[in-house]
Amino acid sequence: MIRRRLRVSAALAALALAAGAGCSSLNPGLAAAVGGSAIPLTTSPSGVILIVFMNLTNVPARASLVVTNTNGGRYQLGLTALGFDATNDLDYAIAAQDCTVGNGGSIQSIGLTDVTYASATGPVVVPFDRPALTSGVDLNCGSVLAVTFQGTPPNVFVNLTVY
Amino acid sequence: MMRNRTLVFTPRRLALALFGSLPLASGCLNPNLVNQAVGSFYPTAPGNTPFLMVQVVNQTQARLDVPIVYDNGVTTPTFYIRSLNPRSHDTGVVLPWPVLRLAIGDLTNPLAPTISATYANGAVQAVPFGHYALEAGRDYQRGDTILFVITGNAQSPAYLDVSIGRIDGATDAGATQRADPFGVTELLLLQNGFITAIPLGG
Repeated sequence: MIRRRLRVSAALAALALAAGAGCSSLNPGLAAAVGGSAIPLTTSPSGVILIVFMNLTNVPARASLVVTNTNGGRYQLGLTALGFDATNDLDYAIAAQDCTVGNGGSIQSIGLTDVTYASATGPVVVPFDRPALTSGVDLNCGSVLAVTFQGTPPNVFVNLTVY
Repeated sequence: MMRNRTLVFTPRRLALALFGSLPLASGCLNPNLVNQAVGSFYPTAPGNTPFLMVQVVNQTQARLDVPIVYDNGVTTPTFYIRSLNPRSHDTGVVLPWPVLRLAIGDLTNPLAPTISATYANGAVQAVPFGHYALEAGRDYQRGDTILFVITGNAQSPAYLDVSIGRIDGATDAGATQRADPFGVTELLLLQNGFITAIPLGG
């Protein structure tokens, strides 16, 4: 009888330990949610496309992009970065777009529309007249879009590269 | 000789059953939960690179403006996510490490109404984050992903709930098989002089 009680107690203790330690005790690929129980999502994260805006000029600038999804969703993304300064991390900005966007949707295209920079006379728009990058052709999950803005105003140019 | 056994729910058995169901209830085995990070061909967290990724998931029927504010030890920059509509679903930002504290809107006042929700009928509602700022070392580490999942509140249509999830960068690092966008980004920044050196161990 005492042995049986010990077995039950041991089983209870093990289960309590597993529950208290969170999901990782059952599956090392899982992590605990912050501040409470796990959260249900319509789509679990599957990877990202990163958009990196690097400002090599000496003036603040903003890159404007349009992200279009296969479900018809459209999102205008703005990335702002201060002028190049080796002493801080505010001269570049990185956005992350999840490859899946819920309910079976995914990213269809990402287009850079323009880069706007600040000048003494007000904002100056540098248009980027190229077609949007299409998923499966120019882009894949895990791609990096690097937007480089360089030069000395007003002689500036924008470069877009996909890695 | 066969024995007829009847399942009787004694308090001890009931306790065992409850404890056994806790991991299931917390979502460990459900693939649609936020902290699932297995089986992907691409990393879902920065892992060994000197970043913290913050993603905002819009599971409401409203268009959201969400200011992500963080403390890098020198300043408290804000990254604005504007007009995130339900169909666009989610977007995110990759912040350079260190990120000492992280919140939506206000690092010190969780009740400040900083999330703006615009509904289809044109009504605009400002709602608070509702959580204290997350802290490095306690709520997240270098290389993790933090997810702010914004959902409608069943009790009040005019209110929104923010839930917070974390993908552990340490456990996610091994899942990379096809591409490593975070590693590529780190090299790009290094090549262009935005960061000076790859830190040891990263």
